Amino acid sequence: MASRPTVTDRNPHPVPSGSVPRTAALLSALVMGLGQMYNRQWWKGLSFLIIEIAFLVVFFDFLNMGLWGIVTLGTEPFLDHSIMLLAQGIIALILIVFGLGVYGLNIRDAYRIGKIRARGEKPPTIGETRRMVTDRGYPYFLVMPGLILLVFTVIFPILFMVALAFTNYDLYHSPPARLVDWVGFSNFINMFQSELWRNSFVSVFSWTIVWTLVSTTVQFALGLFLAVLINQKRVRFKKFFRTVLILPWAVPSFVSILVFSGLFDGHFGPINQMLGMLGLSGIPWMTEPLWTRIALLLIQFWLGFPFSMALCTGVLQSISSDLYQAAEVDGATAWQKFRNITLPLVLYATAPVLITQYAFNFNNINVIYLFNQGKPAVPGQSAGGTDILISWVYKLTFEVHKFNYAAAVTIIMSLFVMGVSLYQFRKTRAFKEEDLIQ
Amino acid sequence: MKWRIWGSIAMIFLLTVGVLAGCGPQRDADPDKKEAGKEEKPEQLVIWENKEARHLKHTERMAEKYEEKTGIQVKVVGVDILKQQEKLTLDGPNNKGADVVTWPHDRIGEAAIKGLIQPIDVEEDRIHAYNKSALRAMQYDGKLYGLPRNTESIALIYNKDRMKEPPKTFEELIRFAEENTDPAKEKYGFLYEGENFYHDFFVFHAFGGYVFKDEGGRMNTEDIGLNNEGSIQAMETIGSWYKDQLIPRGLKADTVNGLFKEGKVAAVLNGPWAVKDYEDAGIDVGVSPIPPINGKDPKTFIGVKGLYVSAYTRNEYWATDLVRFLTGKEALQDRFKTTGEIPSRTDLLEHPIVKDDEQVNGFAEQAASGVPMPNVPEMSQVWDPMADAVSFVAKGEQTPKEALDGAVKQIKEKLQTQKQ
Repeated sequence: MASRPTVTDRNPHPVPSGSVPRTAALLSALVMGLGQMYNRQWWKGLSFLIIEIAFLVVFFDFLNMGLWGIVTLGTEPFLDHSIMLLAQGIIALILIVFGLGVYGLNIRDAYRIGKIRARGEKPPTIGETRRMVTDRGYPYFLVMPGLILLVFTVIFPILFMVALAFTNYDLYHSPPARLVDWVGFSNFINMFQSELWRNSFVSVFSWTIVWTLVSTTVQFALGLFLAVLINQKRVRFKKFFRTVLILPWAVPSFVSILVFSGLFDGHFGPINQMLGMLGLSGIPWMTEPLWTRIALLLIQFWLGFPFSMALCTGVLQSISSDLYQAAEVDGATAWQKFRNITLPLVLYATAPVLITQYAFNFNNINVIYLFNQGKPAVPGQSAGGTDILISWVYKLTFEVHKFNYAAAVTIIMSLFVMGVSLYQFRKTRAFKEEDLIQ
Repeated sequence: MKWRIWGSIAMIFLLTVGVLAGCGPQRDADPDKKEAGKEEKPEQLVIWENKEARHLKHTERMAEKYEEKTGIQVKVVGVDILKQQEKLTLDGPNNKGADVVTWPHDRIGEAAIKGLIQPIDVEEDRIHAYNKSALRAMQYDGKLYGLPRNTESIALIYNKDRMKEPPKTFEELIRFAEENTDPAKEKYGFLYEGENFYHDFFVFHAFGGYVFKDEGGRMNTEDIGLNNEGSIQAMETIGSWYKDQLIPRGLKADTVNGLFKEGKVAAVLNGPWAVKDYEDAGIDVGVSPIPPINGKDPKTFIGVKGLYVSAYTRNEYWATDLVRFLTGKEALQDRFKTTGEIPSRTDLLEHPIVKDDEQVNGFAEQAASGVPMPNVPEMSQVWDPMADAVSFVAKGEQTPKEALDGAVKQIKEKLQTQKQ
C-alpha cells in the first residue's frame, strides 16, 4: 500500500493508492471512457464513451450480419449470398480489429493516467491532452487514410482469397441457388489426390524452376554485360545506344509478346521464312515443346534485359573511379577489375531487386500465356509443354470452375515464393555484414 | 497483470462473436417471394441487351412496339452479352437485375445450376415455330429455359475467283484441295482451323461420333462418344488431310483469315462473322453449306442466342410474354434487317429475305440442321483435350485411337475434378 500524499498537495482529488491504475484499466475495459472518468478526465472519458456508442450504434447490424455470415455462410439459398456474406464477415472482422485497437488504447491510457495519479501527480488537463495528441499524434493522423486504404485494397483481398481456400466454392456450390460451406483443409488434400493434377505436377514444376532460373539469370547477365559495355570510356554515342537498348522495355510487353507469337509462327512466321531463304529448314517453334521453350526464353531475355541494364548502369556510375585506378596501378587486367570490383559491387546493390525478379518470373504468366497458351500439348498430361505452375493452375481452375482450388494453390505458391525470397534476403543481409561498402 | 487484462479482452471478444454469430438476421417465416397475382401488369420490365449499337437499336424499337401493345414500359439496358451472367449474380439479389437477359446458349447450364434463370412455360403450338435444333439448344436437364433468337454456324466460304462452284461432296472438295495445294508457293485449296474441336465436330458426327449421349433433352455426361468406332474413323479422315499436307499443322484462325484475304486459299470453313472482313479485303465471297461427307449432310456445332427469364424477376408471366414477343416473327424479321443475324424461326428461314440472299442462305441452311453445342458446363472440359488430340494426330505423334483414348481419359479426369 502506498502512503497517502500530504494534505497540502495541490491535487484537489486525494484518491491515489496503488490500486488506482488497475481499477482505472478495469473500468475502461468494462465501458470505454469509464476509467478516464474515474481518473477525473471527464472530457476524455466522454469522448471515448461517445466513440464506443457510435461504433456500436453504427456498426451493430453490419457486425451482427457479418459475423453471423462468416460463421454460417448463409442458411437459405437465394436469400443468402454466401460470397457476399463472406466478404461482409471479413470486413466486420477488420472493423472489430480497428475497434479493439481503440479499445486497447483506451485501457492503456486509463492505466497510464492511473499510474500518474498513484504517484500523486496531477493527470494532464484536457488542454494538455489535446496538445499532446496534436503534437505526437499528427503523423499518425496523416497516415490514417492511407492505412485504411491499404487495409481494404491489400489486406482484405488477401484475407478473402485465403478464406476461399477453405470453402467448397465451385460451380456446383455457387450462389444464389446453392450455398457455400466451410470445408477445412480438404481442398488441399483432394487437390493432390486428383489424378489430373498428379500426372502433370512434376513436369510442370521442373520446367517452372528451369524457366525461373534461366530466364532471370540470363536476362540479368545480358543487362549487366551491356551496361558495362556502354559504360566504357571508349564507347561513343552512349545516350543513343542506351535509348535504343531501353526500347524493348518501353513497348508494352503485352504487345511485343503477341507480335513475337506471329513472328515465330511455324509456317507463315518471318523467322522461319528467313531461315528458309538461308536454305535452312524451318524450326517448329510453336509445335515442339523444346523449341517453344527456347523461343520463350529468348523472348524473355529480350523483354527483361533493359530493366537489368538500367539498374546496372545506375550502380556502375556510382562506383568510384579510385577503385579502378588503384587496380590499374596494381596491374590488374580488365577481367580482374570486373571480377573483383564491378561484379561484387553491382551484385551487392542489386541483390534485392534480383530476388524479386526471380519471384516475378516464377509467376510470369503473361509471356507464357500470350505467346502460345502454354502449348504445345503433350500426350498424357493435362498441362501443355510450356505451362508453368501459374498458367497451368489458371487454366485448370477456370476451366473446371474450381475457385476454391485456385485459392488453395495460390496460397501454396505464395508460401513457396515467400519462403525462397525470405531465405535469399536473409542471405544478402549476411553478405552486407562483410562490410563491402561503408 | 497485463496478460490477465488481455486474456479477459480476448474472452469478451470471443463471447461477443459467439453471441452475434448465434443471432444473425431476423427473418419472417415467409420472405417476400413471388406473390400469387402474377398476371398483374407491372409498370416496367427491364431487359439487358448486348451492348452493341445494332442490337440496342433493334431492341429499343421493339420495346416501343411492346409498350403500344401491352402498355408495359420496357427499359432496354446495354450489357455485354458475355458479362450478363456475372452481373446478374451481383445485381439480382439487390433487385437491380433485369427481368429478361441474353447470352449464348452454351452458358445456359451454368446459369441454371447457379439458379440465375428459370424454366419457362410456352404453349405447344408456339414452340413449333422455332427451328428444332435451336429449340434443343434452349433445353437444359429436360426443361426449356428460354426461346431462341439467332443461330450461328460455320459454313463453306469460298473465293469465287478460285472456285467456280462449291463441290457436291466433301470428298470432291478434298480432291480439289489435292490438285490446288502447293505449300511452297503458299497456295491452298482448302483450309480450316482443324486443331479446334468446334470446327471438327461435323466430321465426328458424320462418322457416328458424339460428345455426350443426348437422352431426351438430357445430356448423359457419363457416356462420352469421342473414342468410339466412328470417332476413330473421323480422326483418321482428319489426320489424312494433315498427312497429305493439305493443311499445315499448328494452323491458327488468324492465319487462315490472313491467307484467305490475300486470295491464297480457295475455300475455308468459317462463320458469318468473318464475311465482312473477307469482302473488305476485296475477295468475291461465296457461301454454301458444307458438302455431304461420308454420304451424310454435315451437322456442325451451332451457337444459339436466346432470351431467358431471370430467376429474380417479380413478373414471371410478363417477362415470359416479352420473351415471346421478342422472338416472334415480326421482331426477328426486324432483327435480321438491323443486325443481319440469322433468325431461329422456321417461317423466317423459308422467307424470301433469307432464301434469296445466297450468302445468308448458305449459313442459314447449315445452321438449321446443326447440332447445338452441349450447354452443360461439362462441355468446357471437352474443347482442349480434343483440340490437343487432333494436334497429336496431325504431328504423327499418336495414332487416332491413342489420341482419342487419351483425350477421353483426360476429359473424364477433368469432369471428376470438376465434380469433386
